Amino acid sequence: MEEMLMSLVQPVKEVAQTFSYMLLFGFIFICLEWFIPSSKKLLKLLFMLIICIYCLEPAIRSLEMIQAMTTELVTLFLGIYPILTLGIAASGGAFLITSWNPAVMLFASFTTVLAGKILIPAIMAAFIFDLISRIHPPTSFAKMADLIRLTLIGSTSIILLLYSIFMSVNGVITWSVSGTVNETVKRLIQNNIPFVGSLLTESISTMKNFSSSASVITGNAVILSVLMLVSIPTIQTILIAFLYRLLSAILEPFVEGNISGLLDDIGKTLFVLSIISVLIAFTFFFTIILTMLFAKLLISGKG
Amino acid sequence: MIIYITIILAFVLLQLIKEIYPRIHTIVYTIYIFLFLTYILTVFIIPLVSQYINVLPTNLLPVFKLLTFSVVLLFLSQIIEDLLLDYEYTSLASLFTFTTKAILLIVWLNHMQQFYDKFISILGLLS
Repeated sequence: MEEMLMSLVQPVKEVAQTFSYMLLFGFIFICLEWFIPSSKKLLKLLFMLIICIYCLEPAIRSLEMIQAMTTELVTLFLGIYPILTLGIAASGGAFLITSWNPAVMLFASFTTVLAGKILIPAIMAAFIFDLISRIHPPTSFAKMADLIRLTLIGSTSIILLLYSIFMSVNGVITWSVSGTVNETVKRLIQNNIPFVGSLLTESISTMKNFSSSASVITGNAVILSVLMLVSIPTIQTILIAFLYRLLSAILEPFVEGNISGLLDDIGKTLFVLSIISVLIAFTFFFTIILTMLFAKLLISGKG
Repeated sequence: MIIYITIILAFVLLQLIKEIYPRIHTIVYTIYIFLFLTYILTVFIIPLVSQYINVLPTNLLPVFKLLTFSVVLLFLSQIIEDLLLDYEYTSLASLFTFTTKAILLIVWLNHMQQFYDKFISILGLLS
């Protein structure tokens, strides 16, 4: 529990550190511009470069975290899935209990590869386009960055829709809070998380549907703990994205418009990353449940 | 305070030289500027920077060193550029500015190598 809390507090610490660095550098550069007024343009550029070095660090770290998870998952899929599929099929009756379509496995591994090879590099490209637009406003790639973000949201929503088609084949609701509370929480998330709020609630619904059918086999407590475990990277990314936007809002009156705009753009891009991390979380969740199912079938087979 | 006194004394002495030996005035002035710059650097700037650099957090140290180097370079280049412009060596002055800008660019790009290596490593998955 302590480690989970630490992993959630860490981004807050990092962004707070970024905030203090920005203020410190902002003050130093104001002094320098006053000291050497003839090199104002150059000093402004250096300030932007320093901000890039220190401010992008938490964002890039979260990107690397999601990327590392994806790479691990690809290895896992390639190694374990053929054995797992064979094991479940050999145990017999597994597909009758849960209506798990074997195509889901293929789909899940395809999604992970897609996220690792296309979606995350595309997010990095959006980062670079934002950076260029802010460092050198006449060469603006803002529309390109927006297009990449929109395309990523679109493709992720399509993948999530396909997931829901696969998963809602036989969803037996066994663990769910009452509908009214559920809807309120959904609305709350939709309204408060920009850009990806509605997509996030849809993905949560899909995951809930899937976990409803899975909880028949594994039990609610296990499902809940696995869900909490797999959602940590997503929560962490959303937290960092929110903090970036907060930082941009706080710094707007003090620093140049381009810098607060850059921080805002980083926040937007991280929200898109968070929705991609949901995809990864989903496949991770799916793998854990499938392994549990396999273990259970093996034990019951022996008994 | 000592800098003010040195500047005022230098001004008086230079005026005197200008009146007595106008031919060597410019060369004395140039030598004086360079000597004075060396004095300011060794007596004031370097000890001050090394004193305050210990207070800074370690992860900020490389960027602060680089920033100090850039500022000192800009400061020196501006003074020398003004000196050259005083004697109407405009092309030499612009060459000096150009060299300073090139040095700053190279130094900062080298410093940021780690940063754009990270970008490239993440983008590298596209291939």
